[in-house]
Amino acid sequence: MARSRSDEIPLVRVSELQKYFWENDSLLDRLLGDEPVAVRAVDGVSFDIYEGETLGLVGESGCGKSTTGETLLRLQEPTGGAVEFDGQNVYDLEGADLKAFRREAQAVFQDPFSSLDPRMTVGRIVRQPLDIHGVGSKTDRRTKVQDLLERVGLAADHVDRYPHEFSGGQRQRIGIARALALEPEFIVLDEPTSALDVSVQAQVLNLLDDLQDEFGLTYLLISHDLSVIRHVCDRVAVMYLGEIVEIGPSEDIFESPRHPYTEALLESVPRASTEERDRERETISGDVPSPRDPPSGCRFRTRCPKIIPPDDLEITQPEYRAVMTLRERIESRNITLEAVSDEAERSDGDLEVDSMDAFVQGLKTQVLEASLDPRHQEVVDAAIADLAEERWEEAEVRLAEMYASVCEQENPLLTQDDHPAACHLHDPPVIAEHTIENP
Amino acid sequence: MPSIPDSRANTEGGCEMIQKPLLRVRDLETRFFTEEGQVNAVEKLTLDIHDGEVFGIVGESGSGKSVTARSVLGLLESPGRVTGGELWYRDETFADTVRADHPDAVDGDYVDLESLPSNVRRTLRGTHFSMIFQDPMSSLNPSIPVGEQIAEAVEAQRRARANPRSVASRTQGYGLSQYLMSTVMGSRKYVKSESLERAVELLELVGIPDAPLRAKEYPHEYSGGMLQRAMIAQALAGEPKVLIADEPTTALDVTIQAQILDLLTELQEETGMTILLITHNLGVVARMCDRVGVMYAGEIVERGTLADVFDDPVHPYTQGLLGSIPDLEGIGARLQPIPGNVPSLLDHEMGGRCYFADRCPKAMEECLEHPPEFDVDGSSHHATRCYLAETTYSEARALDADYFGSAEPLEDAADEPVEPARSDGGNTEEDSR
Repeated sequence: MARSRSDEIPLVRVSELQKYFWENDSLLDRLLGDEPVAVRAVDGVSFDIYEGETLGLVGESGCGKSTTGETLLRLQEPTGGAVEFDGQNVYDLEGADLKAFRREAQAVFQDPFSSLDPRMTVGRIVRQPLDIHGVGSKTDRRTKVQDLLERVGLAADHVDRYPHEFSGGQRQRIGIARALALEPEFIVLDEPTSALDVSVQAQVLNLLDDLQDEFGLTYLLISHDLSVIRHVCDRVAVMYLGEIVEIGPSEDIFESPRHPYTEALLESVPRASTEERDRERETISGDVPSPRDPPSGCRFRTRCPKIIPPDDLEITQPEYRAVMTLRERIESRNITLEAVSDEAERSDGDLEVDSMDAFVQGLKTQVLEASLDPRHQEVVDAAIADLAEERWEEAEVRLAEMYASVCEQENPLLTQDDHPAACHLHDPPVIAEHTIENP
Repeated sequence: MPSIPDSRANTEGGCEMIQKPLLRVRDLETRFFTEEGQVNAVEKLTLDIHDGEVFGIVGESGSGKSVTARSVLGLLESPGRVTGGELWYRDETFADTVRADHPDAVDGDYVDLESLPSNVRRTLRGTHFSMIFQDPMSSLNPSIPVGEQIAEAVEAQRRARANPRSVASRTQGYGLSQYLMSTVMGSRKYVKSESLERAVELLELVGIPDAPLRAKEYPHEYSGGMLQRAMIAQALAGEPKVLIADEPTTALDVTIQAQILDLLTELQEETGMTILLITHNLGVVARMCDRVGVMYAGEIVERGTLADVFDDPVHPYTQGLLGSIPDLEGIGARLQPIPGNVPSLLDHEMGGRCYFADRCPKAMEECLEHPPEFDVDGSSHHATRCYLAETTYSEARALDADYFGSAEPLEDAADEPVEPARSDGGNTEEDSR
């Protein structure tokens, strides 16, 4: 379904959406003079959703997908940016307009156990939106609720039961019925199947598919499950640490991913087939960095298997990756020197030169993941020797002079084409040259 | 002396020596005695696990996978109890140690763990069997540094080895008085410095960068993937022969899951340990396992090599499970879900029929009688609890679509029972608008 839609007007247009959460922001913290810390959950996200399509938002936990979904429904106030729904900025709406928007945009939440009030009957849960918006007469509403329940695959006389009487899959159907009650145009599906077993997940996915065809719904599907995304979505946006790194038609994203993160994500998913065991795959190392202090430049650079070395440098990718990981650890002062120096002293007694050598070797085996070419070996050894005397800055500068990558200086922007990706590999920056000299 | 039912010879790979399985589970039954009634969590489970293999148990939630794992380790808590069956574990040295006190429990190299008293069985944990749990965040003590927790495990095993006789005693020679002394004198602490060093080594082994520093940190300072690595380190402390991994990657992101799976593969190749992997993720099974058992309602409904189960599934449940997964490699057609829900396993609701019959698209008259395990052509490991292994499906003997209308308490307690296929495929045509 990868059709070009640039001439159409999108139903939802998200531009530069930001949502920060603040830590150390209480009155006490301010009295104590602590600086508030921003957790940049969503940091400048832009995308369009066209009528009748399903846009998938995929990423690892903590990348800001759910916050994006909640903020664009105005369940959270944004820190910056705008969301246009049917041509109107959602954050400017008030009174009746806002209420109208609430009718048109609904949500289905992840956990069917906590998103339904355990003290309400199913009938009341599904009827509540109708009550709030004053739709129809009392009997109309009751018939409507029964219709809805039947439509999502439950029985009409389930209205008087309580959520605990239902299984996870059935509860998710109740949540879907509630979202459908006001006949919305647009539904945010926030991990609708992640709490369900595969066989039940398939039932719910099929149901969502049917409902979309029947009512002409537009979906934003938030999920961490790539196979669900692939199965359901027309277009996909991949998020990493609060930013969209790649967006495009589902087919293109899965068949020819352009961003190294998307590639790594796709590689990591184990396939349920007998060929899986022999499938060669490269896993990416490390964890997602904290959104409190995201890496400079490209946020994926700390894990990227394709990080770009300076033009004039001859170095293989594993070597460069190892050096870059070492640089990060030096910059975050995340290396214990005591353990190594203890060892060095123990094995070599007091001899100064020897112990320095032993220190360098000892630390190197601990912190360096690959063996280096002699040329690079020399630079790295010198930097580690700096560490021995706790001259962290010097070590930092020494390595930065030689190994600074464009990826840490420039945050790549999404390219302007049918399948945008935010990676320097596809959009080499021009101004990178002179910035390398003064790190 | 009890006799052990003979198991199939291991002919995998052809040239491999025919070996005896490491673990023979025979008719294992685990029950939970709850207020609502007796829950048959594990029902007549029979299983062989061989040395150095990765055996996967796959199934949906509530199918009894985790209970099986806990039953093997003897870690069940009330109201759960193993009510029957045998659990034969092959270890010559252990058999010799136990023979004098419990002659009935020993048969050759094998020891029946179920007929051993719990204090003897306890000595196996850590050194022979070890387990990693699903949720790393809640499985480690948040108030003790990670390194120290692992060191405790190392220390426990070290003390156990140093004094095999006192292993059975709960305190291992470290009583209350020592504990009180330790608050004053550092040298009396339970964890010795060698154990702490070993803990750091273990953390390095599982790929935690800067292990000496990280060992001093508390669990909340670790990320989920790191915690799972730490838990694996703890499980490896006693150099176990069998590692039971209960949903080891379920709480993790895919990129981290890939790292942990690689780590497990690496460790398994290095140490040659046997892994019993419990998961609901068919992709993880495909990645890791040599042989697979598919569990449904407390039974293994189909088992065999990975290829047997994934490429030639016989049981309609296995087929349904495989058909439910959306394909990553291409836009598949509409998913083929299994209608209905996992049964509750309450004894009085189970009845004598095939437990899957009410959701089965190929239910026949035979299925009203509980099927035994049939061998399936192909590989010698392949077996299934389904009549389709012997007979072919025939419309003539098929059960009516709403035959089990009364078997699904939720759907049918309604006045007009909803046909399962309709209620769950979402095929109703009426427009609710």
